[in-house]
Amino acid sequence: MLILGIESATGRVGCAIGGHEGVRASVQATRERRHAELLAPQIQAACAHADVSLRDLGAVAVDVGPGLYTGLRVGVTTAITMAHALRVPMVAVSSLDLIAYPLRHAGRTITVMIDARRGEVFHARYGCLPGGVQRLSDPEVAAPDHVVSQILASDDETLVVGDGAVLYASMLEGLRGVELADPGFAHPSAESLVLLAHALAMREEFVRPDEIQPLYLRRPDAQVPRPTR
Amino acid sequence: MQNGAGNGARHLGDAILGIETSCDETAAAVVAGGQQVLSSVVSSQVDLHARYGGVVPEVAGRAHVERLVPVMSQALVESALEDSDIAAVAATAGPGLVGALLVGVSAAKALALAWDVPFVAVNHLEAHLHAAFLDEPSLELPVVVILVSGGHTMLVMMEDRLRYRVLGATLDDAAGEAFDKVARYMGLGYPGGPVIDRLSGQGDRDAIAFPRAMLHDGWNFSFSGLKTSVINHLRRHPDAPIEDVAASFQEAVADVLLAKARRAAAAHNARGLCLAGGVAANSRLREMTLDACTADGLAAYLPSRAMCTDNAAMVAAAGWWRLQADGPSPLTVGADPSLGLPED
Amino acid sequence: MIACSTAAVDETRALGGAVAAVVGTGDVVVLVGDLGAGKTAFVQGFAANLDVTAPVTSPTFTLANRYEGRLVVNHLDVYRFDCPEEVYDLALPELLDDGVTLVEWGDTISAALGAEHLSVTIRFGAGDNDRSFELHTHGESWQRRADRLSAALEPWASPC
Repeated sequence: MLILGIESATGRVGCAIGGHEGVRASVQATRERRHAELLAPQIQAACAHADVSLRDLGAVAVDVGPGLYTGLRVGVTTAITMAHALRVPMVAVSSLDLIAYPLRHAGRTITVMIDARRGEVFHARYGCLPGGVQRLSDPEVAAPDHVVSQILASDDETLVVGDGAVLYASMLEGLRGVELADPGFAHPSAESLVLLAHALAMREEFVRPDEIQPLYLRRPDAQVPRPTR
Repeated sequence: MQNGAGNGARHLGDAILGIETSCDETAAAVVAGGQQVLSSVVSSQVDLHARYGGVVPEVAGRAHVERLVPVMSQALVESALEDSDIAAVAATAGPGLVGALLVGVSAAKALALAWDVPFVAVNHLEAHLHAAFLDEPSLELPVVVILVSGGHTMLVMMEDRLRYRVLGATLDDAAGEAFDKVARYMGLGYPGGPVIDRLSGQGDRDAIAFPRAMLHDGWNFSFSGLKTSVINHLRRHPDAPIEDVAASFQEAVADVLLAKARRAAAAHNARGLCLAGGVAANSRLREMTLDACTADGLAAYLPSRAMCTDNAAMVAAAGWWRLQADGPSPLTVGADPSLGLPED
Repeated sequence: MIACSTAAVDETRALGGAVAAVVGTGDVVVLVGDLGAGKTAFVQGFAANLDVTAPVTSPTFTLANRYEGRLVVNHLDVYRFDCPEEVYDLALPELLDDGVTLVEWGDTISAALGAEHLSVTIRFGAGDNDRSFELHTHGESWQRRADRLSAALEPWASPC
């Protein structure tokens, strides 16, 4: 099954096309606030490189976040509209899962931290399984020192990855049992999305376009405790 | 001009799907030949924003993502066309809220790619100028358009469908914004336009002589001073009947708009006056426009409320005209929150 | 606390411009004052001094305006926001990190704005155009700038 993967949850935007034989074409760019200009031409270019027509697609996969809201909505809107128009099912993947997936051979706990701005990160913990990763905690938004305490409390050997890990590297460096992943792994990629989505598609873990919602993590899909005044 | 409205003929090769998400309405419509409205669906978010007293951009962006596909599907179903009958997809690319515009632009490009048809980026203000034609196919140009909404106030001399000049615009608050602000100060809630319109019906519009800024001075408008005068009046006279304040305020706004529009029509030999934008639903503005046109021997074009407020039929219509004139827009076009009217 | 006063809208604009001289990306300025007090005039002068050329109007219809100048200027109106959770509806974290942010009626949500901010309270004076200003610095970064801010506002200083 051919899958188009659309990823725009962070400062990057890109797409990839692939199937059981792997990724056939991918286009990616880093230009914050230019997601809407870049994405449609990228899809055209990926189709041309892969020598496929959009009508050949069996599914559309999308990174549903968490991430930066405006860019995220460009990708999610493009993906759900396209899937609807092509009448194909969708696969929804979290940006945190996408960052953890390429490190599935790390053989230890993985903590993904994505910069959520204003001194906070989106984060989740993963364990390595044969051929993939398994999420051990629900995605959350928190201050980075809270994530550090969680890592230390778990007592696990932990690989920390994501642009949040790069940004708050000074809080993580030198901690016992904690290692920072190479910054090359810091962003979700459209290639990982297609590979992961293909695995999910084989298990028929599809969703309908109207069931897809970006994962904002901050209100209204998250309850924030009211500070006492 | 191609015009299927009168004889019922359908130019299916010319059917355009229009998408509008520039502010707080999620809308989609199918219009054939730039004229015949086959369907027009609007999902208003006004309830979502009312509690905040204005449009919250992030809330609008989220709601557009949720609503656009269902709204679009409904527009297609109601048009009784198949996907394959759609010749192009047009979307508002600006001006408006950037996070809201991006949803419509992204969706339109995705459809254009999936269906392999042209994408057309539409200017929201130009779309408003085309709205009256959908109600009045026989509209005779040239006309002076009073374009008034929550975000815009301008006087446009429209010579042809794609040829027009902006004669003047507001230097500060938009007319609709002045209504919202005065309503807010009087504790009347949001949106302010309809409630002030209603109260004014029971008030004396000559009770308070609020200033008419720049009445005889050029084509531009200023409503910020009027707002301040209303507030100063209410601070000095807390017991003033709000009906009178509302009616006098509304009269001042409509007075300035009409005075300038009439002068513009005379100066540029226009055949009529045309209203556009959400504030064009105001009953006193409509009444005064009719009276002015009768007095001056002009045609009055007062589009229905559905055509005045944001909708996607006007986007599809403007898109059809732009597609004929300029061809498809490149897929590299993004959203431009401060896009101006293209003038030539 | 810094106390100032102005006697005309243009003076309020100039005062806003003077405050802009000491801000940088990530800063938050909270504006408190009744409708018509001159919050928008303050923002106009503030934005002009940051080379914003687009006309600045109050964000009454859309509750968040964004202007590009030497810095990005975000202008928010949150008069109806009455609990801190609601600020998430503004995507505040993304906005705040992106430029300098002015929040009208911000005292209702100051808990969510963070410890670091400058608050400006505007009150009506005796005449229709008279206004008095109270500026309070909150947090370390604003504390450090307090002297520069006082110096910049010297022309409008009123005795405490």
